[in-house]
Parts: sequence; C-alpha cells; structure tokens
Amino acid sequence: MTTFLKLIKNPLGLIGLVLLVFFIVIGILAPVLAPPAWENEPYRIPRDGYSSVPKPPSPEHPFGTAEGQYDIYYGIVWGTRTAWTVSLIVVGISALVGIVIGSVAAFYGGVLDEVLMRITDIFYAFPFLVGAMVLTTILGRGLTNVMVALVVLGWMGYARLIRGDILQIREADYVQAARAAGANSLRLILRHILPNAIWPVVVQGTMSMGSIVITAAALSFLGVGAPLGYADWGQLISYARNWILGLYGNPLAYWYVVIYPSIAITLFCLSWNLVGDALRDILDPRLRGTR
Amino acid sequence: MKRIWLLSLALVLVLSVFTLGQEITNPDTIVRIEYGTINTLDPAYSYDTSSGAVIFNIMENLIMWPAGVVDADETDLSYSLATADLLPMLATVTPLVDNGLIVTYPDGSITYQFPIRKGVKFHEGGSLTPEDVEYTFERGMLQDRDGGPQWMLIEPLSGSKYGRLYQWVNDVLGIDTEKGTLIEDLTPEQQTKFYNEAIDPLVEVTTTGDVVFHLAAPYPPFLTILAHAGNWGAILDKEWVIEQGGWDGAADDWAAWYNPGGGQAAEASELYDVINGTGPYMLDHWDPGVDVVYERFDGYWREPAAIKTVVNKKIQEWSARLLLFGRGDADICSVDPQYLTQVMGQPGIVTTLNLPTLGLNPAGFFTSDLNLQGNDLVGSGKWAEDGIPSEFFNDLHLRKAFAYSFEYQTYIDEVLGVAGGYRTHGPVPKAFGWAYDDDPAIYYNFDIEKATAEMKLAWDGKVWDSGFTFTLLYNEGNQGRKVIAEILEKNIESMNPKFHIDVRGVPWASYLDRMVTEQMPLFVIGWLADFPDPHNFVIPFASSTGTFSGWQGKTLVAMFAEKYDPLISAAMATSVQAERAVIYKQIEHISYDDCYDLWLPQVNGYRVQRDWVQGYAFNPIFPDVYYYSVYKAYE
Amino acid sequence: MLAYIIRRLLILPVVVLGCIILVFAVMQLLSPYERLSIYCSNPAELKNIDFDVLIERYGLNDPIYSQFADWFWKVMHGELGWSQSAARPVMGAFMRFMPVSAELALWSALPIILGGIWLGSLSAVKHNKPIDHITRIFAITGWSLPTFVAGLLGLFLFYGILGWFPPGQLGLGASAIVRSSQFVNYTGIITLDAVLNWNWYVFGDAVRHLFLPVFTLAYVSWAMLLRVMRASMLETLRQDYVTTARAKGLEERVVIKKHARRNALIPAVTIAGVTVAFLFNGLVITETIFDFHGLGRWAARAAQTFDLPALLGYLLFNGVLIVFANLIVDVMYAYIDPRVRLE
Repeated sequence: MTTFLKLIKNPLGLIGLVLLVFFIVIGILAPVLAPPAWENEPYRIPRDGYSSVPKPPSPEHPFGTAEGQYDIYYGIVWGTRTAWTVSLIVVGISALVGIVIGSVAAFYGGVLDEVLMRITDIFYAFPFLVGAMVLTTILGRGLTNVMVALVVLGWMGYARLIRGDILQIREADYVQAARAAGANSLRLILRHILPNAIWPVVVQGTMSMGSIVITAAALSFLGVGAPLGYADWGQLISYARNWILGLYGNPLAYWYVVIYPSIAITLFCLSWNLVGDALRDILDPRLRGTR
Repeated sequence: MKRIWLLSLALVLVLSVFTLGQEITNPDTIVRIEYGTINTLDPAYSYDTSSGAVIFNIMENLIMWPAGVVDADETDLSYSLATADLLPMLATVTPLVDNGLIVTYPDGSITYQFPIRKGVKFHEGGSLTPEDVEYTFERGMLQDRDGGPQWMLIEPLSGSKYGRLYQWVNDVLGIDTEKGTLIEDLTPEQQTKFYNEAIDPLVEVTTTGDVVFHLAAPYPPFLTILAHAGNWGAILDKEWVIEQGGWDGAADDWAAWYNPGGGQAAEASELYDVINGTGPYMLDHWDPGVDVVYERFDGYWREPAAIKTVVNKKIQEWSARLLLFGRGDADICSVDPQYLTQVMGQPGIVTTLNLPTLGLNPAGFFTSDLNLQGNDLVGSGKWAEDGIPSEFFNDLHLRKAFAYSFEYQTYIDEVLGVAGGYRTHGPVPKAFGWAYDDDPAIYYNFDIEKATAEMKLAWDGKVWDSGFTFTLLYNEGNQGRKVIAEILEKNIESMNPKFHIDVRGVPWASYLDRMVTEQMPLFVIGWLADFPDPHNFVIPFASSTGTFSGWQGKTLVAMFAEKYDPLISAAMATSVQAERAVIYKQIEHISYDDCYDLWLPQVNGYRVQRDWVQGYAFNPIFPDVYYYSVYKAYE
Repeated sequence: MLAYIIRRLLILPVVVLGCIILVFAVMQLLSPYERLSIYCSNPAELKNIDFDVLIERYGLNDPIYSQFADWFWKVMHGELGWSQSAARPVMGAFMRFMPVSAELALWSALPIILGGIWLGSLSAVKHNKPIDHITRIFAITGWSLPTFVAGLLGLFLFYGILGWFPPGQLGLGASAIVRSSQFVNYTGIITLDAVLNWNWYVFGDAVRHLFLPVFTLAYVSWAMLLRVMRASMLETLRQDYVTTARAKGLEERVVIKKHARRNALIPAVTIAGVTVAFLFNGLVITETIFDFHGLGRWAARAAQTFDLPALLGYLLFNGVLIVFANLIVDVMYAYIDPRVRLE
C-alpha cells in the first residue's frame, strides 16, 4: 500500500499509472465503445467498402478508415485488448521461464549451469525476429502462434540477467556474512539474493510490456503477425506504412492512418516505462533513506 | 524580422524540392525501380517475366512485334499482335504463305523458312550464322527443364503429339524414362538414335543459308512463339555457349545437359549468370536480388541505342520507391494499382491509364470431387450445416449461384480504383478481339435473386435445406484476393442464415499445396500470356491437362476431356483465323453454360514514368521496358 | 582464463548443432508440397512439374534422420544449398550480404553502446534533475516508436523533403566507381574499402547513405541501454565504498570514473551483449526500409518465401556469431568483476 502511495507521489510514475488505467478501461469497455459487427469475431475490423484509398475522419468513422476501408477507431479500441493479451501473456510466461532457468543455473553452478547456459545460447542463436517469422509462418498466422513464438524466443534475456545478478550478489559481503552466520541455501535465496537480484528483471519486464507490442508490430510489418483486418495496433501500422508519404502537395493527406496507431503504441509503451522506472526507484531498498 | 527570415528560408528549402521543369538527372542513364526476382539468364531455361525482361533487352529473336509508343507526349497504340504484322529481326523476311516461305504439304506437314541476316555481331565478338539458330532450338528442346518453357517448342514441332521431351524419348526408344529421371543414363547409341530420328530433322540449315522449321502438323500460333518477347526464341552463339561448357551439338552426348538441376536449381545451367546476345544492350553486371545493369552495345546491327546505361534496381519497400521516383533519381517505377493516387498529379511524373493487357488474372476456379484427406477447409465433410461434401461443386446450379453472387461492378469501382477495369468472360481474353465474343448474354452479372433461385435448385434443394460451411482461402499479401473472398462471403451468407463461409489468409506455400492437392473448394489464381494466341489460354483454363483446369477435380476434368479438348484441337487444326474464331467463340459460349470458373474483372494496364522519358515502346506482350527506343528529353 | 575460453570454444559446435536440430525439427511440420513451393511461385512453371518426382528426388519423404544426415554431410562440405530468394548459393548469399550488415552494425554499435552508457551515467549522476528527465523521455520515445515508423518518417523528412540522405547504400556515381576495376574490394565493407582505396568521394557518399539507418537504429536502442546503465549507476553510487571514497575527499569525477562506473558496467555489459543480438533483428527492418542489401533483408525475404536452405544457413551463421559474442561478454564479466568465479 505504501508502495502504491509512493508511486502516486512520483510525478512521472503517476502519469504512467493514469495512462495504464486508461488503457485498462478501454480494454474492458471495448464491446461498449465499439460494438462488433460479427458477434463471434469481435477482433475482425468491420470494413465499409473495399476501396484501397484511406478516407479521413468522419462522423461514421471517428479516426478515419485505413487501406481497404477498415475502421481505425474500431481497430484501436479492440487493439487495446489485443495489446494487453499479448504483452501480459508473453512477458509473464517468458519472465517466469527465464527466472527459473537463470536462478537454477546460478545456484547450482557446475555442469548444470553449463548445460543451461548452453541451452540459453542455443535459443539466443535464433535471431528473434527471423525466428519468430519462421515459427509463425510454419505454425500459421494468428495471435496464439505469435505469442508462442515470442515466448519461445524471449525468455533468455531474463535468464541471463538474473544469473548475472545472482552470481554477483552471491559474492557480495552481506551474503557472505549471512552464509557465515549459518543461513541455509533456501533462506539465502529467498531472503537475501532473489529480492536483490530481481530488480533488473523487473525493470526489464516493464520495458518488455511495451516492447513486445512493438515486436508484434514488427512481425506484422514483415508479413507474419496478426492477419490482415485483425484488430491489432501493429497490423494497423504495418499497412499504414505505404501511405506515410501522403499525396503530392499534401504529405499529411493520410496522417490519421499513421498517427492514431502510433500514438496508441507509443502511449502504451510510455506508460509502462514510466511506471517501471518509478517502481524501481521506490522498491530498491538501498534508496530508502538516502539523500 | 528574424522570424520572417527563418520562415522564408524554410519556404525556399521546401519549395526547392518542387521545382517545375526540373533538370534531367543523369541524361544518358535510365534508372528503373521495381521488385521482381531474376531467376536465370539462360534463354532456354527462363520462364518468368523478370528473367524474360533481361533477355528481352540483351538478346534477339528471328522476328519481332511492331510496337506503339506510350510516353509523356503521346499514347500511340498502333502495336499489333497479328501474325501477319510480324517484322523481321534476325531473319531478313518474315515467313508468310504469300512470300512462299510457309509451305504446307499434302501430308499435312508445314515448313517455315527464315533467311538469316548477315553481318550481325554478338557482344562477345562472334558472328550470327544459321547454325547458331539451329543450335539454339535443338539445345532448348534437349534441355526441356522441369517447369520450363520448352513445351512451347516441343508441342508444335512434334505435331502436337508431345508436351515434354521425355514423352518423345519414351516413344522413340520404346523405354520408360520415369518422367525423364532416367534420361541421364541413356547410352550414346540411344542418344544418337533419338537425336537423329526426332530432333535433327526439326530445324535444318539449307544450302542457301536459310533456317527451316519442319512441323508435322499445322500449328497456327507457331510464329508468335518465335517472336521477340519470348525468351525461348532468343538466338544464342553456338561457339560461345560451347566455350561456357554447354552442349557441343553432337548427337551422342546431349543427355548430360538435360534438365539441369531438375528445374529447381537454375545455377546448374551453364548460362545461368552469363549472357551473350545480339541485342542493343550488353550485360554490365547482375547482382541477384539487388540490381542488374546494362551497357550500350556500340556494334549493334541497327543504329546504337540512345541511352548508354540502364540500371534496374530491386526495391521492395513502396515508400522508398516513391521517394526516389519523386525526386527524379529514378525514371521508371513499378506502382501497384492501389498506390496510383500517390503518384498522380506529381509534377514531372506522367501516368498513362487504360492500356490493354494480355492476361486473365485473377480468375476463380471451382473444384469438383474435393480431396477430403487432411482437409480443414470443408468442415465436417458431409451434407450438413457445418461442412460440405466432396462433390459439393459438382452441381451446375450451385456454381451458377456463386457466379451470380459476385459484385463485379463494385470490385471494379472500389478495388481497381483509379486504374479501372473491365468485365471479361473466359477462357479467351478480351485482348484477342478476333476470337472474343462480346455478347452480353454470356456474362454473369451480380443478381441476388437469380443467385437465390439457383441455390434453391442446387442438388435438388438439399443445399438450401441443410446449409453449409466451408473456408475460402486467399493468398496472404494479396489484398485483392482477400476482397474477392469477402465479397462472396457477404453475399452468400446474406441469402440464407444456414450458409457460412470463413475467410482465411495463408502463405503462398500453403496455398499452392492445397491447389495441387485439390483441397480448396474455390481457388483464385491468374495467367499471363506466353504468346499472344487464344490457345495459350484455353489450355490452362479449359483443357483436361491444363495447368489450372487439371486441378479442378475428376468430374470437371472429365467434362473438359469430353467437351473442350476436341474443340481445342480443332482450333489448332486450321490456320484460317476466321475458322478458329468460330471455334473459340463456341468455347466461350459453352463455358458460360458450364460455369466451371468465376470470370472476375480485369485491371487495366497503366504506366508511370518521369516526363522526360520518351520513346517508351508499347506492346502488351512485352515483358518489360524495351530500352532500345528510349531517350530522355523534354519535348 | 585461457582454459575457460578454450572450453567455451569447444562447446561451440555442440551449441550450433543444437540450433540446427531444433530448426530442422520445426521445419518437418511442413508438408513436402509446402517445402517444394519455394520453387514454384510462377503458375506457368507449375505446368510441367511433377511433384511426386521432385519429392522423390529431394528425399522429402525420407525419414528425418536420413534427411538430416544428408544435409549435415553437405554442410560439412560447405554446400549449404541454393537460396531461391537470393538467386544464388546460400554460402554465396552470406558472403555477399554479410559485409553490408557488418558495416551497418559496426557503425551503429558504437553510437548505441557509447551513447547509452554516457546518457545512462549522465542521467544517474544528475538524478531527478531536469537533465535526467529529458534524457529519459528522449530515450523512451525512441524505444516506444516502432523502428519502421521512425525510419520511414526520417526518410520522408530528410530525403523526401530535404534531399539530404537518400535510401540505398550508395548513389549511382559511387556504385559505378565501386563496381569498376580501379576500385579494389578488400573487405566488402564500403567505408573501409573506400579508405583503403583512398577514395574520399565514395567514403563520403557511403556515410551520407549510412546516416539515417544508423541514427534510426541508435535512437530506437538507446532507451534500453540507458535504463539499465542508469539503474545500475544509481545503485553503485549509493554503495558504501562510493560514500567512503567521497568521504575520503576524492574528486567526484574520480569517484564516478574509478569506482562507480566500473561496477555499474556489469549489467551494461550484459545489455551490450544483448544489443549485438538486438542489432541483428533491428537490421531486418532497417535494411528493408533503407534498401540495404544485407543479411537482415535476405532473412526476411527467405522466411516470407519459405526459402529453407537460406533460413537454415542464416541460422547457422547467426548461431556462430552470437555464441562468439556471448563468449566475449562472459570474459568481460570476469575482467570487470574479479569476484565472479569462472569455474
């Protein structure tokens, strides 16, 4: 509770929190804000015609329409749900996997450490984007496979980070002291090492919440992310890229196609970064009571 | 005061970009930006537009098409696709019946005689001889790589008996080469026998230095196959090819060069990355996937070209292309139809619309007797609301219902947009005016009432009562194809709440797989002309062995064999165009009756170029720009 | 230390083998027809292809271990197959595209790592002052914007409107020079070769074309490095030994340089190592937008067109490069923090 209060007191953290709440609300209220055209396909963006040329904002389409006459407003609103789903699941699972593997490696050391780190290396050798592309191409497009690909290829960062931290902290004086005082391994891990080793991972996690959304957008850009017409910010942006230059004499003719999804992604990312930063400032025990 | 200075400075900077009458960048170089992939430079191997475009500029054929001009100042559509209008190129006279160079014999065989031009030089120094011509065609046919273009020479020259070389080898030698895989094991004696009996007599050099082609039976489009634009007819320098490690022309060893790389590895051919022709341009270098550059050949047998260097850059990203093009750093640009509005109206850029095209792309194909094995597109696979049975599209009324359910005009207006389009029915494209029947009665138009009526008749009402569900796939990345599926979905579902169509995108790999294995109830794909004759279209669309028609399931294939194959052969049995026209129009009428395909609207051709590009030759059969006639100037 | 390095090097092939096996296993999820499709994107070519014959010929129906063994034998002989998307042998494609990516990566790595470390230190030292907030927001906006949007907007502004930085690797004039016989291609890295050829026109042209992609890559990556560096610096600055050093009267600058920064570098080194991997991915998009014909662009096309030999080959190369990079990172850990035991 005190953490929460402290978060609110931090000005940037407060902004981040407000933004996050805003996105949560939109996500929850999606069916109300943008009623689906097909009840069993709420993520399918309704299209008003088939013309390729985007149309500017109007009363029927508050944010305008994208290439193929997909309603941008609908895409942004339901895309919020998509963003939450993808980021929470991917970051949650990959962080968990990474922490477990990294901790085990750091603690047991020796052959186990070697084997686990080599396995980490093996996964690292898969360039993230290309590996994700290949996986989604084979498994098929669609959000589930995108998430599978992102988890399979994304846990290594956490493993390495926590292993590096644990290795360092394990040698720190206070840990040596606790060990000398007779503390057993589990107590060492839970009480002293993990709570201190986990911070870079937390920071990384919050950064990832936003960056996963960006990576999913990159996958759409390359043609293997969410299917065309699916309510996903990345999908909206990837088709926007052919209209960024506008028309001759009017470079901002199609500004709405790019700006709205960009703002959504940027704000989502920004809010997580601000909250993450503020959280870090608050929860780091060594900052308490310093100048 | 300072602010006004800054503002004016900014204004000047911005305006400096949009100057009118911009100075011509690189006056003796043409830069073209596009995004196709060149697969090979071997003229016998190449069977795609991008490779063909390179060979088109660097090598030459015996005869060529007259062309119009489409550039900034004029739209001259005086091209021709009529055999009678073919112009001599490396030959000195185009063979015609009138000038006695085409002779028909009592036994039905035909010869075409080409006097060969003298004094023509190859880029690498050789001289053109009639033996080069003979060698070119023999080498091509004996190569006949899988998936290649040689069927276009084997078919006419064998009297329409064979499409592949191995079929011919099998017959002559009385063995089974297992679809050509055993040809590499042929003994020299067998090779000699085959060569002497089958291949050698086809193309001969006369004592007067002419080249004669012997056809066992009439083949009306034969000359169009040889014409410049078809890389399979581009003439090689025999001595030079032998230097590159090619076949030496002997009767007993050709099998070693048969089907290099199994048709899958273009680099297996000795001419994969080297090219030597008689054309106005030489190859400066080819960096696969990056660019290809031509240099002017000053020893050309005609007046040398105006432009010295041609740079062909491959750029996938549309915005990057647009920027280069807008600034004048590129002269000719490939523009997809949906982005045309972004180039139109730019000063310095000229867009010409409503140009004729030679293709049927896209077209929709129904599949009868669907393959249900491992097929996730057919739902339960039974007569029920949740699936469709294998024989679903065997019923004519059902197919007609779908034909009435497509919004043809909406597709033209909204999808084709600024480029515009036109209605067509198949399988003969509109571009062949002499063979195309424009009778409005054989077009299906959008009519939900008629569609509903046909639906109720389908399978004696079973479809209407039980409903159905199936999946329509589209090739990912192709927006137009997605729209086609969605239009059908919308209209079919609107007829009856029990009708369900799912639309899903899959990668090309998967799409191809399902086409070949006959899993897709309805698939969409297109065909561009190899040579400008209706025969090149009726085969893939309406013959029992056609590329596409062959995938349409047992029942439809049997129908093609029974009704269409005889007509197709009959149309080839006569050289009289009027007679052929009657047959092709008959094919079009019964195609309407049988409704075996969805004939979708076609997009109009168009061109986008800088306003200083002049002399841009036009003929719809050309694979790409013909740089010989191009020059840069303001006029 | 030497023993450690040697041990790691010996394990390298094991790691690479692991990668290949994994990829190969995943590829088997495709049907043989699907794997064939990379050769048939032109319907006209479908006319004469007999799929059954081809499946036989390429052993696509053989058991996995025999397919793998076959392929592995070829790899050992350097025959990595043919890349349909690059229209050249896989090995050839790698040799052709590697220098382009290396050039981009090298020119970007330095600004990214140095910039990130410097910005992070600055931010930490001036904690909660305006400079701190400004740098953080600057970096965060870069991190929050998709690379391709940033890249395209940059291209639009700096090339479309101002004409300063065109797409592509070289302009027409410079490419003609590089292709000519007077210019010797020592490494394939244009800027380096230009210097070695003492050709400053080509050098200048190459740098002009490098500016935007490098800046795009750097701007998007700074945030990550900055955060970790900042967080880690802040931690270290509060450590007791720093307080002691300050109490002893050491100059602030010395305190930061000698004590704080060195220790703060550990997570930063990890991140720098991750940056190398990250660059490989960033290159995929940047090369596509700015039309640099490098490994990233090749890989993207290969994945889109199911070009299996290219993908397998690319993963192989990538595996080797990254394992080496990881090795370097681990060695640097040991160098910076002697308390980390290597055994």
